Amino acid sequence: MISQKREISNWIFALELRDSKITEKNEEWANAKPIVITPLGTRVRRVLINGIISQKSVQDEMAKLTISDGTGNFYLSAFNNDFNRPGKDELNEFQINDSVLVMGRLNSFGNEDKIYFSISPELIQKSDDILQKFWSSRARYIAIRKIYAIREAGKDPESSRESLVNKGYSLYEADCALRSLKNYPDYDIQNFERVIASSPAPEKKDDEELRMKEAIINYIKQNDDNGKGCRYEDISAASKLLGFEENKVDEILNQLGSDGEIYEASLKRYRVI
Amino acid sequence: MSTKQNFLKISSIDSVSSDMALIAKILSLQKKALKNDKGESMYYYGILGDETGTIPFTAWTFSSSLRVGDVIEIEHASSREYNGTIRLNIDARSQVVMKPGTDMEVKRSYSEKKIRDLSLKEPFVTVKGKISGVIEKEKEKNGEMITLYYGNLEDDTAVIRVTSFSRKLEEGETVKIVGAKVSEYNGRLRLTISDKTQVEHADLDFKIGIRLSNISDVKSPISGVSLAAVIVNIGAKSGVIKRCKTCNRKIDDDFCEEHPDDGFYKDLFAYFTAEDGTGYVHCTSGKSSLEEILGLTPDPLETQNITSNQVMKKLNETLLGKPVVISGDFVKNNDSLTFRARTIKQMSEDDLRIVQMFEAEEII
Ligand SMILES: [Zn+2]
Repeated sequence: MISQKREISNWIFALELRDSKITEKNEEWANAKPIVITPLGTRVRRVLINGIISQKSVQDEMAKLTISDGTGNFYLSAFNNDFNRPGKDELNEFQINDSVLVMGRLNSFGNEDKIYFSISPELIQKSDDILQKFWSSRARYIAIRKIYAIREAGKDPESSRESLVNKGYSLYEADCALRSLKNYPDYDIQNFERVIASSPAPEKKDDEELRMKEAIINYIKQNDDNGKGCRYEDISAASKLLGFEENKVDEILNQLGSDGEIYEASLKRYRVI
Repeated sequence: MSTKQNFLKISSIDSVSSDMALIAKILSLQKKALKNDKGESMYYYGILGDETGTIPFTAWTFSSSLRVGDVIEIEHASSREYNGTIRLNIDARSQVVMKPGTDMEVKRSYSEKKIRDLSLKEPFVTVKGKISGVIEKEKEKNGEMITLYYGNLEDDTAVIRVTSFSRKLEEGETVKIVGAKVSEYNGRLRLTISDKTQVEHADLDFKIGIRLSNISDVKSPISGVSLAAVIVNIGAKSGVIKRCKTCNRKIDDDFCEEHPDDGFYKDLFAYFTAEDGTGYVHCTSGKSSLEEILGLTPDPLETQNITSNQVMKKLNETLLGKPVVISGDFVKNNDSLTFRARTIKQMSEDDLRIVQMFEAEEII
């Protein structure tokens, strides 16, 4: 009735993932995705995260969400053919500034210099203030226990699972600490500790910026000029009329470009994707 | 074996050393299968004792004819430290010879444990706590009527069932039990008080409150624990189930195999997975906890009319991806622990503060 074996979800901050540079081959299955080893020695295949959606882009086949947890960003992507898990349409129901809880599989790609991560969601739900605080507080507790174990293990080159367990750490924490020392001997753990010192909380984007983005997208859509794109001068003038700060127009256009919402069809002419 | 051998007493084994010889009695013995690349191998573990004390041991080669109570002579054993205690290690180089017909007085030493940390690995322990839920039962033993006392013992980490063969258990008394035996019955841990166990009144040096635990910290089927967790999955077959009116067993068709004519009634049941960042546990919950969390009235008619789909919809809306505090009991099922949730509630601001206090205590 109940499937007994399950892959544990790691409740980790975006910072721990961002600083990860090492992957390990998954020995259990031949074609499985590699396992990510983080600077705190966590082996990650599945994560459970909470944060605020800071960017959203929806294309023909897929939807992407950027989720900020106050220490950095997680990147979510889903296709429409994802069987039995949230796909493009489900992701599309969420809006910028929504607070969400996400459980998902971690994908990594890149090379030795830099690894990039994306999460394929298995569960995505709106979260409230209590869940946000609970998640952040748990993630911090788990990270700090690992940091203490890493410091303890670092004091003595003979440190072993047994010696760390004898000092009160769990077997899991002991393994993480030894893995961290082996793979990231020079990691700036003090900086990590500083970032998570008070439970980090993500911040919502200010409303002014959001309203401005929406207004500009709408304006570009409606003034497409027969497929040639909307002229920069017109956007600028319209923004002024709507009461937005003139000097923010360039910044918003840049952001919309990198969010994948608009593109520059020709010099100083914009179209909605 | 040589008679000149210098046998060590258990109380003198206090550090890591090798090539030791001793004579000891097997006080507990368990075996475990270990899987590796070469297949499956067995190892044994348990506790040895002599007139000076006791020591846990691990044996990689051990005669399967050895039993609890046997006295053995061991040569070329070593000791190692594990989990803060010294263990005797019997490996391929060691020699073990049984001494039939020999008995030995054993000086038991019991370490004091919190209820959450009890396990079959350490079958005799000292525990402190408060007694509740006492029931007396008369039983016949060897032609004589004896009184058995059943109850619960609780401390600040968990609750465990207690059976006393010798001493009356008083409702509400606080006790220190020295040399209680830990065993497992029906998938749950149990403590037994026999005439070899000492029970004394004791003041508790802890407060009994909400017994919050990390999921990963529970390794034995103990009761009365609360978990602060997020529900990440709800079992697809949760909803309404049918039970036989006579024996209350869950039935798959419309009749019970043993009581086919007695009819059935409908009951609520859910299973789900909870995670707290340290681990996960599969949970089950029944009617009363579900009615409360799902906002159903305890009207029997409602349960009779609601459909599985309606229950499932409510479960998804109320619980999936939500932070909760669930209280209940761990049960051992096919070698893994599941959690029987007696109450489920949405996490409140107050609960969150308790969780954060609990975390702070462990990271200062
Ligand atoms: Zn029946």
